[in-house]
Amino acid sequence: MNNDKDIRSLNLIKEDADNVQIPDSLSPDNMMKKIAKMKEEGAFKENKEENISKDNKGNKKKNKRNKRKLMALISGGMATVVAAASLGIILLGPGARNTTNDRLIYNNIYTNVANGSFQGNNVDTLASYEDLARYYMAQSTMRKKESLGDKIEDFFEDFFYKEEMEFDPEDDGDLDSNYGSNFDNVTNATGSSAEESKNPSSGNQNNESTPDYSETNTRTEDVGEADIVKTDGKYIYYLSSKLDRSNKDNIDLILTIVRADGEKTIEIFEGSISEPILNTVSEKSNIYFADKEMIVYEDKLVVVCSYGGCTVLSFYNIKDKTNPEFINTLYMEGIYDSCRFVDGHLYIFSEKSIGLRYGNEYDIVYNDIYYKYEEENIEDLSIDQLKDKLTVSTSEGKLNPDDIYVANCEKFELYHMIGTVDMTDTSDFKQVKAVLGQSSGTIYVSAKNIYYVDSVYANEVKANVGEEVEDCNKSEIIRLSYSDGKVVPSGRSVIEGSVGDEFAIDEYNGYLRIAVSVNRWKGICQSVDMEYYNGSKWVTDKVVRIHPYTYSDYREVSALYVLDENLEVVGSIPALKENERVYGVRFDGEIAYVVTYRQMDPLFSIDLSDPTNPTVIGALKIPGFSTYLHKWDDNKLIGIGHDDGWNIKISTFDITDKTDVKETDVCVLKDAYSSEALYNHKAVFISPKNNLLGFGDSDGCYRLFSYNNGNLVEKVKVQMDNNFLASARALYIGEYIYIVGENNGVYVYRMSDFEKVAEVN
Amino acid sequence: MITEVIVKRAVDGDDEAFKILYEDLYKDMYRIAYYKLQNVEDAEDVVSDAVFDMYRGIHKLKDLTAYRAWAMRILNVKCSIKMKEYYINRTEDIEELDCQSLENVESESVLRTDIKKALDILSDEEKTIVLCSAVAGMSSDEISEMINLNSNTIRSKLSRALLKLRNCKCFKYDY
Repeated sequence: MNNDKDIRSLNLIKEDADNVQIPDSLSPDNMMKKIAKMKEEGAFKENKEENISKDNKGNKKKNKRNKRKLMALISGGMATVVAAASLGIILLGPGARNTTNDRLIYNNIYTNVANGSFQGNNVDTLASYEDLARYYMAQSTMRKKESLGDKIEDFFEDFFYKEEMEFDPEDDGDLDSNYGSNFDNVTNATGSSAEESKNPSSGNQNNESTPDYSETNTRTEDVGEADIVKTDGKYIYYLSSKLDRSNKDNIDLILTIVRADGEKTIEIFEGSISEPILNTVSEKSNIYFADKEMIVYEDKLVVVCSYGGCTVLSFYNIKDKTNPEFINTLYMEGIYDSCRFVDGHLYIFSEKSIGLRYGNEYDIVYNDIYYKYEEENIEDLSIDQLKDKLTVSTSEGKLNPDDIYVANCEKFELYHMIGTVDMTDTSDFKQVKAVLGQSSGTIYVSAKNIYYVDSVYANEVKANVGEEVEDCNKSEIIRLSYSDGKVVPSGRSVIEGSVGDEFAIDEYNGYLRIAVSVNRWKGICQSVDMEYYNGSKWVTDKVVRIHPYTYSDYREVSALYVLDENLEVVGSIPALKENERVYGVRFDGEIAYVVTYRQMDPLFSIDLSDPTNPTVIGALKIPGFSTYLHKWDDNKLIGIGHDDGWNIKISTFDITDKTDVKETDVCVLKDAYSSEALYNHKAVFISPKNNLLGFGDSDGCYRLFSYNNGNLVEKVKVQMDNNFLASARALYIGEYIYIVGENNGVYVYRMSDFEKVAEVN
Repeated sequence: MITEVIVKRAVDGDDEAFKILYEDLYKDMYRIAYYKLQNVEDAEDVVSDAVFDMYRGIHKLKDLTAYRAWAMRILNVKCSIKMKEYYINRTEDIEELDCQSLENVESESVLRTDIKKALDILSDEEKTIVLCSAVAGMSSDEISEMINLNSNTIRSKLSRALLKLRNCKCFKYDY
């Protein structure tokens, strides 16, 4: 603007705009509540692209009446309908493998591994990258044949015109409630969300293993987990990130070592450790070191983080604490998920999404505005380029196809990578394996096995056309046994429902117990002509699937299954609670505590002593819900979650009598609405021995509690950070409690009187 | 102040961080939608819709500094879709729309009515450019990222639009 009149015009608009009243429903609190609610209902799943393309298409529909209502439906619920439709189109799947022999491409990418001990539950490996590339190509061409767009538009046209005839045009409410709910069903029907799996709750009673100091709260006893703060009983190590002012593309990763000695606690080392990581990954990114965590083992310290789409491990010799010595780095592709440490071996899990799309359907050009997604279009790639895209590599080079296991799903979206390192020889990975799967699932590591529980979509149904059938969401369990840094697939199975987090899965005495939320719906079968390329020619096939727009009678049920060593269901509670979703789970040997939620918080106690006959022995109803359950001692169970007013609530349950669990104490934090503890068990500091419970809240305060006559009392509330996004951890060594803020140093408290005795910045 | 750390956190799926971003954006988003659609309810719908899409898609945001342009781009597409809907409805709903505009006139200031009328003479693209710079205070670089046009083009389009506006009552200056 080179003209003061122009500036005046802009200012005038600005001034007037400042007076525009913003509706209350859009306030950040209300909006986040809405998002939380939608998330709960599974509305945010992986296939985001479809939502946009459908909106655009939805608008082309002509409809004479109730236009606005219909539009609202299209933009709100229909998104996912189209997602469901597009998923339905890919039928070169394992279901297909069982029914038609013609589907060569699919069969080609599998070579049967001689591993027949699991009654057909073999985990196959990839034959070659080229076959995988061809499989992708075939999917791409097939999609084209069915031409998603027009068909759906036609359908909308028919559907809404028809419905309009049947409905009283004035009766908007009905339209909303009937169709609104149907579309919601589909939302859930299309599978479980990525968020779900990212939303774990909880921890374990691992603190007592060493009397002198506390360790990171872990899922499984004796299976160590990495975290941002670690201690070896003498020193405290923590990671923080600092913005590098000189180069705003980078954020510096800092390692700090503090000698823990009560009042005399001092910092002995602080230094940047970003350089080796930057040098390891050739593809520079301005995304800082994400998900940084570390593990300390004897004289070695490993820092694991995501950088430039890779998971990078940097090893340090920390014999001299004042001067950690860099040893080497290793990397593998994929975003870092988590890491376990068992018997001197590291198991690193990452996830590499393949990031390809079929056709241009997700692009929108409207009024010169080009709305484009980042994924590359398969149609633009040659088979060699595609092959390169699909290849995964590590610091050792390309991953051999023999090391890639293939999940039982129709559309491959990502590689789950597993790298193992022997801590005595960190020069290379001991082994790198990958599982080619569909969705980013939940990883649970027991003392012997690694379990991937991924949502899978299957669209083909075995029924007659026109028949109404019931269907539900399903998950595939892939089990890999591990020992001494070696990972071997040892079985797979498909169950109904999806799991919320790793605490919902538990291995005990050879049985696998899983608490799931199952979405069930009904629909009418239709026959679809599918054309697909079988490797040499186009073949037409009739396939029966549920018409996505006939979904009805949607229900959500929480359930519990017990699987034997062959991963076959031997016992189950098929409907723990109708219309409720599983929130928090804690397995305690032969007893399981399960929190489900819709309005009230039933805390179920389930007797699992007979694996073939799990029985609900108690149910306690209280308002709100807990997402993290932790067994304090034989008589007490702690639940951290929300009350019905969305404040943080810490419930104490008396579990002396499993058949009659009581809530004996409720501690509501009125000034906190969220906490890292609700979704990351590592953020919970829990030490029944020292009568301590702590976690950081969403305002950057760290809170320490302890029981006083059976009631939980807040002992310390300290502002750790102005940037409330930073994490904080607490630990104890001897008589002192150390609270470590990511960017704020270490505060030392005396355990006996909760007095602050020292501060290290 | 939104730092890259916060944006990155939001990209990584941190709801708290997303909330901070939203806090920073929602007023501008709503106001832009309001002027474009000139309807309170629809503006509200469009903003929620856009926010849900942002929440769904934020993990794909690569350029952390461009989150504002990114959010506005999503909002813009949503508004465009809504406007196309108005266009399709124009014959049938003409009575309804008239009633609505009458209601609005009663409750709002003369200045606002004039501004809205003035904005109506602009094309959708010009409206976007004017509103993004006036209401959201976005630079031509940011707007260029948002609607995929060269920033020089944005600057010239903006001055042309403002020139057009000067023919309207509220933007006529005496000096």
